[in-house]
Amino acid sequence: MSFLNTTQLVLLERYLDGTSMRQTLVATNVANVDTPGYQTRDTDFRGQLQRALSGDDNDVLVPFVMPVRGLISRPDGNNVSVDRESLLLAEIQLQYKAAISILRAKFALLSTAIKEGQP
Amino acid sequence: MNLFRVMEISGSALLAERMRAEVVSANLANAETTRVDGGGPFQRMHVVFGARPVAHPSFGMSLASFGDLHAENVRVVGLVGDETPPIQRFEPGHPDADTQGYVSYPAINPAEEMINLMGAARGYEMNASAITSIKNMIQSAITILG
Amino acid sequence: MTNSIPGVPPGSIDLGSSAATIKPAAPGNSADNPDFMSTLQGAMGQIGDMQSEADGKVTQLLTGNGQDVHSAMIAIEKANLAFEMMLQVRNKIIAAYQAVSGIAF
Repeated sequence: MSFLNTTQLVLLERYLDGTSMRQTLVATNVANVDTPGYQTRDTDFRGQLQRALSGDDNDVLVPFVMPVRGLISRPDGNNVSVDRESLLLAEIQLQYKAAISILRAKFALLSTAIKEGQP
Repeated sequence: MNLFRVMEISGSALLAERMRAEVVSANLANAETTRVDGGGPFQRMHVVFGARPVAHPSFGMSLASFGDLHAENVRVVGLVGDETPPIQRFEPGHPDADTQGYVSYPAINPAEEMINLMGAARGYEMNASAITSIKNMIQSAITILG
Repeated sequence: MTNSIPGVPPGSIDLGSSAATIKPAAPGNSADNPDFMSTLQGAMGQIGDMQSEADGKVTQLLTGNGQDVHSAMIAIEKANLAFEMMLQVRNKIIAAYQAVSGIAF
């Protein structure tokens, strides 16, 4: 069944995994906007996807979650930026929905090809 | 950690921010209260936020908590009384005046409390929009099957 | 390239061979195994595996075990498409048999 595991389809699924995981990080940052000492977290899953696509043989992927640089800390030690997280919430949601749309289109095409246009 | 789980975390933050707003509102309402049941002026309270691990994480939740990203809810971990000494004002005719004619008022700065209230409201609003965006993502994933 | 969830020790989660690689799977080597019957049986076995995988993910989703909605949905859709494919292959085989043997059903 290799037609179901093309590079495109696997890539789309990994992209969905990455964006939903990144959104959970953003939501956790938002939930902790008033927690003293909390440090913003993020992930670079797209960089890792790119490296995987270009054929780097990294068997062990380093952990996704990483602290964010360049953020200003408030006196209580919290460095969550309301603007940054709000922007990411909207952006990541759109990325996820776009990937879902593309995935649906690919599945629909496969379905049509299999059934040869007959219901 | 999946999208459903993080909605729980956002929900816990909503609760925490609301408690904070209630405590701040109580401070504002009692800014001029010179006598409480236990004697003395009203004591300003403030909340302390912290992270609390989920009490009984399921196996799947533990598995899904990879890296250093643990399944932790945001909770109000403490309700702390302010130790700032009360403000003394000279009002000899006041029923709560002491022998020198001074009345003890709570050490509450309304401007500061308003800022805290706005912070709690902003935190609440942000967590609500986080929940909305995650809800939208889950709904769009459901459409994969048509 | 093996896929692994970062932070989780490799091998502790079985993603199923069907979803594990970014590179496309190598085409079947029909020269080595020309037996049509065994190819068919292999394909049917794969479909069974895919159905089980999809069922497993759905169960995980329903019991709240940290499964993503999109993963379960994709697994279901893939299993459905594979099944549909086999259905069409079966129809073609029957049609070919009918044509060859000249019997109308």
